[in-house]
Amino acid sequence: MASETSVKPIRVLAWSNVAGADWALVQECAAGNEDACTRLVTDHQRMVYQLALHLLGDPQEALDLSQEVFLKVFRTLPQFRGHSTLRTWIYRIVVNQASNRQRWWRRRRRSQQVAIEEHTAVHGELPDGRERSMPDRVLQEHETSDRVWRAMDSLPFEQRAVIVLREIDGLSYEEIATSLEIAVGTVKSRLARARETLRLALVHQ
Amino acid sequence: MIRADCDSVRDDLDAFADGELRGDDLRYVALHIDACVRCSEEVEIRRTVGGMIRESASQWQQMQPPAGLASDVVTRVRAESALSWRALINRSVEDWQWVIVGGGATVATCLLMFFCSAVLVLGTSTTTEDGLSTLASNFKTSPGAMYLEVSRQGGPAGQMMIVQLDTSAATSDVLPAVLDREDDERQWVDALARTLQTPGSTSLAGLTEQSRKRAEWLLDNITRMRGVGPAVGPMNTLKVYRLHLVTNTEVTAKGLYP
Repeated sequence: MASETSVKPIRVLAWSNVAGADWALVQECAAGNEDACTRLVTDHQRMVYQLALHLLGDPQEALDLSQEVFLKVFRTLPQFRGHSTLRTWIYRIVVNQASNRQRWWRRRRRSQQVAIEEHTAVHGELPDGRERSMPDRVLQEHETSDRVWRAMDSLPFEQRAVIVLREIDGLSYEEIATSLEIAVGTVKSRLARARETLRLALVHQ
Repeated sequence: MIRADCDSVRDDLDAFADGELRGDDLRYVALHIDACVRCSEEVEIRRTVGGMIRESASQWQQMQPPAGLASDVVTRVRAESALSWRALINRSVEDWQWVIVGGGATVATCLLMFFCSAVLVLGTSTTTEDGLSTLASNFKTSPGAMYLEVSRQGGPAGQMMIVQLDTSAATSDVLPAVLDREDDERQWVDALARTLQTPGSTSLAGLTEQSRKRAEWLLDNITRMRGVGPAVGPMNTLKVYRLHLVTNTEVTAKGLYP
């Protein structure tokens, strides 16, 4: 039954424990405890770095962004009221910082792009992606990955953020809505548009 | 069984693929997908796209943030906080804390004194027209009677009365007694003359001690009587000159005369 296999198990969180631990850590950091600050970064650095990597697609950019994010976290820590989990709050900062950075990043990359004629003169003709179809001719892993990230790169940032938070980080619609400070309905519509765009891009590549 | 139309479930296919549907919505869409190949394929495509994204992302899963990220961040936070205005203020406060405490205490004391002075000068003091009535009320529990020397408004100052204020004390039978201030003064002058004409005396220094005290007392009273003005401002039709409180308690004191 498709209906049965489609239902994901609900993640059960001991909310009070998580929130209490988060809150204690935040209080210690706000009080200037450097050990607590180190612990906060250590606990969340992988999540922040990976999300930055998926949003920007560049390891060095992701590293720079990660540092910016944690600095922003510590600067704004007194404003954290515990209305969301610390993780969700940090997600929001990552996405906001990445949104600001990717505008600059895309402008820079665009200025470094070469014309298609210039590229083909050097590297030869590009393969005709329309000869391939999805999903019966899934290419090798490396090639597929390139195609997917090219397609992801073509998405508007807000759609890319939603699809990354959903498909890679596994956030629920509610968590995505909280992280991006948008309505759940907006999450749904952005996801639908992003998937449609991705499907078309992958099919026609 | 009624099959749902594809259009009615299209908006929910993403939520279905993501396991975000619950209850009736989930059952409704699931029933449709069981029976509709096209929508089932749509769901499958969404899952495939998701799977491709996750698969592609896995190439970066091995990429870890550098080990020194936490220490770098903490160092930069420390450096930033050292340069911040708040840190500057904190350091200043630490260096000058006793000066600040002393200054603060002085300022607080001055402010308190200023406030108290303002309250005393501008505060609750109100002039009441019924001062004597209030006084009379306050003397309800007095052990004695209260008398006033008064004259009528616009009347001759020499014509005075003694009136008893309405207190709890018994009313005197002899009141109100009408006095003639000038006669009264004349009586004191006569008494003084008689005292001074005590046989054998030629000057105040020659008087006996008892006569000298009496003469001084009479002089004081004559002086006071001549200089006396209304003690209390216009109160209805009366001017009040003196107030006498006659208590039922005997008071003894040395040197009182007579």
